[in-house]
Amino acid sequence: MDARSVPAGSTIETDLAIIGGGPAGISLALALAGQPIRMLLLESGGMHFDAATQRLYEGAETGVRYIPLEATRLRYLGGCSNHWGGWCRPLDPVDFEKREWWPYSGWPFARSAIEPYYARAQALVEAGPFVYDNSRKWTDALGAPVRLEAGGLYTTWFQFSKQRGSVLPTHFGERYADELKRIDALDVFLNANVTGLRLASNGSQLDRLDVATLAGNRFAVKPKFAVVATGGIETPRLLLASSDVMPHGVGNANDLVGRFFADHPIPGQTATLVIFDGRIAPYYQLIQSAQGTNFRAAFAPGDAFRRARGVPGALATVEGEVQLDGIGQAALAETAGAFGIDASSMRAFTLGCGMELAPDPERRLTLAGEKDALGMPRLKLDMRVSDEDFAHYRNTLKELGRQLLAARTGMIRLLHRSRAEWLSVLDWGNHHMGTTRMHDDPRQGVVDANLKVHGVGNLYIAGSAAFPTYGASNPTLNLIALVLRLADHLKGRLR
Amino acid sequence: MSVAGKAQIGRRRLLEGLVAAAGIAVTAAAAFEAPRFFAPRYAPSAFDDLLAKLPDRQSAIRIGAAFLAGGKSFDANGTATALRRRLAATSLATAMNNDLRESRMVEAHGWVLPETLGDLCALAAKAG
Repeated sequence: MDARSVPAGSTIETDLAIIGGGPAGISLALALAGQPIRMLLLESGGMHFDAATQRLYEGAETGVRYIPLEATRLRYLGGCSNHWGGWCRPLDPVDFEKREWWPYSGWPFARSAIEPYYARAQALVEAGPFVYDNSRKWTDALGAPVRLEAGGLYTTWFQFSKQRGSVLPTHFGERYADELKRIDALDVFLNANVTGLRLASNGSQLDRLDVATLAGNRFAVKPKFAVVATGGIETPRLLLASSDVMPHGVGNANDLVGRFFADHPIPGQTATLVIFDGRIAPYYQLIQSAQGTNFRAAFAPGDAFRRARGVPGALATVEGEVQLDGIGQAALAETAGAFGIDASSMRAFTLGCGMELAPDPERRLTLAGEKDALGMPRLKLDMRVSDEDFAHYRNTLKELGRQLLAARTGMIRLLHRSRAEWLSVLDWGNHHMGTTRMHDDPRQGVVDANLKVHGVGNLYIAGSAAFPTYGASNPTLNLIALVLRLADHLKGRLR
Repeated sequence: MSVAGKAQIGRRRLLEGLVAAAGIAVTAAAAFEAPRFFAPRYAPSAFDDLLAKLPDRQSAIRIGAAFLAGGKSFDANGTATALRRRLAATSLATAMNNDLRESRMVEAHGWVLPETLGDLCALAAKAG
């Protein structure tokens, strides 16, 4: 349905309104298909990119250079899955733990709470069988993993969304549009922008949603329950802008909405990896296919190492082959010579990475004075990365260097030391997380363990906005598992 | 052709042969000695007993210079004493293994090295 054809001033009643047609919103609608409820999915965009709709995302950025807010997301059915890379990996158990050395860390539950949902999430992202670190059965044929001395890091595995011709990965809008149409109890409204969450006068319940289109008509949706699934940037914008009853915005009694914004820094070149005998299995550099899945290896710090050394998550990938400069050749000659190793066939590669940032309440989104075409206040992002974030990753790579040398496999050069060097190679994963964080205590979180907004009985938030800590894994698979858990919770409440 | 003529030719050939043999011997000796002749020469230093353990002193100097450029204070004599103690009853490779086992690593221009190797290279750079 096209929201532009809804009569202005009308009110649509429904059992459940899902705001946002990205991976979270679509997965939720699919998971609730067959339930005896009426559902409405409200998507701002249409089936394809539209410049005028995309401009609704424009905002301002200060601090560390970040991707422009209108470029880091896509505003049409399928949302950010329209430009994701298809990288999937479950979060590690330690990612859920409260760590004394890691301020603001800890989810309100262990990984076991979402473990049962990973298989279905994996099916939705079409990444083949859920294998990951139990991958030896399909990697042995391609060569052994890089030999590392026992210690902090190990070879871990990404799996990738299904390949269609040369196209990776699953674009949720295109892929699931027909399935959404087949759900009798679901209406999908395209071009429907939710511009306000209107609470009852005592603030304890969501009363209605204000909806606007760029064609000019405005109408209301009156749901029994609503789930905001608009991503880690737009979700706090909607909550903060909805300030008619709660003056600081919905769910923001404790000034948490928009704080703790996070993404994964993904500098392309962080280190040089030397393999003494030059032999490295192809799955480190390129995606391989076997047994119905696409996979690629990376180096990750293990949970025990992270707990013992107090380091966050990180994933180091082997990238392009490089030549050693003079001092690199000297380091190789001296080290290999001292160990009595023949390094005449050596090869060198750059290491890329994805790293986890520490939760930081000052890395935040706030409303700016300027408004968009629908009258919604635009956002301002204050982006920060601490020197400690870089130092942690450096220490992790140093441990990898130790393990390589101790195993007589290779050695490592760390490319960056100063903050300026790190910032010069910084790029971002477009993984927006943390801005409506989950915590049992309303003073420390916007939503509770069931993703319900504290203090509002019928309003939920789905997606990576709820991640209190982030891990280094790409968020899509994990947020879908979390959404499927929410679906089970809502089934109980909607009965 | 007279017998005397034959004798003259024989002496010339003998002389030519001797000259050629001497030339070959000189060339061979030069080829054999050239690496030593042209190899870098280092002034004697107080660390030569330690530096002899390095596989490639030129490379070591380069790495050591990078290590020292890292800015950490470096006590050459104190380090040499500690290295002599460490390497008295063990090989360089074993000492490096021990470093790795106990996470004693240093960096030179970003290269992650066992501490013993880094210290030896730094001494090489100090010795010049």
